Amino acid sequence: MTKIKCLIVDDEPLAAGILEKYIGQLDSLELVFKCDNAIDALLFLQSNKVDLLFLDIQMPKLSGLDFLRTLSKRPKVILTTAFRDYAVEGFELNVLDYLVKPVPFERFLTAINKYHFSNGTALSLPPIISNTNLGISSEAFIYLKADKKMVKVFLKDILYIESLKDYVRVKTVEKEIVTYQRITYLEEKLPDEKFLRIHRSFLISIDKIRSFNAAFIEIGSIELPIGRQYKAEVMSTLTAQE
Amino acid sequence: MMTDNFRIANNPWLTHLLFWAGYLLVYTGVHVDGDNSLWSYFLVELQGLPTAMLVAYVNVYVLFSRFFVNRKYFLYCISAVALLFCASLANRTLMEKYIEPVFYPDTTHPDSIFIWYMLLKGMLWFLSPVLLLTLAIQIFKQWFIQEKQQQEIIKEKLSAELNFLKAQVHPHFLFNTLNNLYALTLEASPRAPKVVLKLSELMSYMLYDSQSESTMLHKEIDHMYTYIELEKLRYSDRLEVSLNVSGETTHQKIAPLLLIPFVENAFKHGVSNETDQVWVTIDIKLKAGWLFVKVENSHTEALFDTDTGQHKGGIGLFNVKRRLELLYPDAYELEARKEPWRYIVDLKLKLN
Repeated sequence: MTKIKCLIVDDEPLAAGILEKYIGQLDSLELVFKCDNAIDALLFLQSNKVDLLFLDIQMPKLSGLDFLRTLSKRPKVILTTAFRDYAVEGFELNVLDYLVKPVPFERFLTAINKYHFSNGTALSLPPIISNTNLGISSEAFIYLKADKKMVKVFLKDILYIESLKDYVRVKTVEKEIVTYQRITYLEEKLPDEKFLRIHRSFLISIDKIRSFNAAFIEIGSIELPIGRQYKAEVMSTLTAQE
Repeated sequence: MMTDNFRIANNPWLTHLLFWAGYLLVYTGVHVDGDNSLWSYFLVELQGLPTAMLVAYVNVYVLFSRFFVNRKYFLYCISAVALLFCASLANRTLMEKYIEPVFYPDTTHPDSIFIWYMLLKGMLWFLSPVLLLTLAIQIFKQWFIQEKQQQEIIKEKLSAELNFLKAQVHPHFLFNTLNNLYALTLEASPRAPKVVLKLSELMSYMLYDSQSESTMLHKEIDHMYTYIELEKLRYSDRLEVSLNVSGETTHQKIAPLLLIPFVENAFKHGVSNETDQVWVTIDIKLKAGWLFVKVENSHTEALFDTDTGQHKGGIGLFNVKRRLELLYPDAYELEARKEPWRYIVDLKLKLN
């Protein structure tokens, strides 16, 4: 497989270094030349073949955009800049992509993908690094007040919630918490994809349903009634789930 | 109101009094020709004053405000002519029936009221200038008020924008993050690049996306994620965060940076002041055009001394409330509550 010949034009050495590193991480790319001004790039392009040009916009003497205008025969161009304001102008010059610094590696991959796509070549890209969250719990939870302390309850553990007027009983897989809270508040708070109001007094976890018929839902070891006014919505939700 | 500027010493009675005094002096001055004494001319003008006032006040308070303001110019013209005619008739009646027999019984004799050329002269020569003058004053006043309102709106917008900016840039947050970043780079932590990208995303959203009047809801939520991830750096495992989004958020629009203050507030008041294990839960749900946002966070005060349980919230929440009032009037409910062990902010918002 012939590699894609890349040229980096950027007056900032650190910025150019990042791109160089990214290019090095992909087997399909090959860096053929790197320079810090448009004039050198022009000279290089006169005698060498380049497939893909990474071009900074703000550079001394000749800006990236002016440089592009002087080129009669252009390689595919990816603009790299810290300013978003040139995006429109860039696309008027028919560039492939527009990368705003700092450029995450994932974003760089997307741009390379566009190159492959525009050339109709099959892509062989490494799996994109998953965007793992630094700080947010992967399991959603709520805190409920019970016996003068706050108890953490994962949503996935909740079986159902029963309304006791101003209080609710939250039944989980392993325990039961009675807390001062209205069921409507919890209904608004908990995600619709996971929880379903089936009765004035019951909000259930959809995943925990064992069986259901037109009148009852079996959850855990208990059968809960479906309220008349909730029936239509319950049925449409549950049948859509299948 | 803004009409204050049209009053002398802020007193409407004094203003009107001075206006009519000025009117009498000017009219006397215009008509005087030396044949008679200045005083007699003044008296003549004084006789016409009730009719002039009738024309002026009916014009200002009835015709102008009913027709002219509502752009019914044709109706205004017709009624103005009718007013002039009636006033002229009234003037003639006043003259012939009361003033002349009472004050000048020797020099005058009773005439018919319906002397057409006298009526017409009264309308055109005497009363129409009064009508036109008061009309001109009203038009000027209306223009002045509109101009002032316009400026008021611009000023309001500017100050809103200023508050907006204040809400956006939290230098302490920025420098805390930079400080954390410094620590990470010192030890050449592999987390450092990720933090830089997050910070860049955050700044980009704050500086660029927030310039428009509305943004996509999912972008605002992404911004929340970014913010939380950066905040999480400061507290590490001491802090638990749950962020739960439900419903189709990709096509819904919302005013930018409207929701983030709730999250900032939870971190500022709930997390940074506490020393124990702390938590924040954020639940966002979009359902049938309604957005439900519930932010809860821990606090360690068990006291429940506030009688209502209502919590005032910080300046951040105050700004949000004002923005909500401006952007979504009568389409939102916002409640901030302090309970033992936790704060709750509960927002329901009707989007379009």
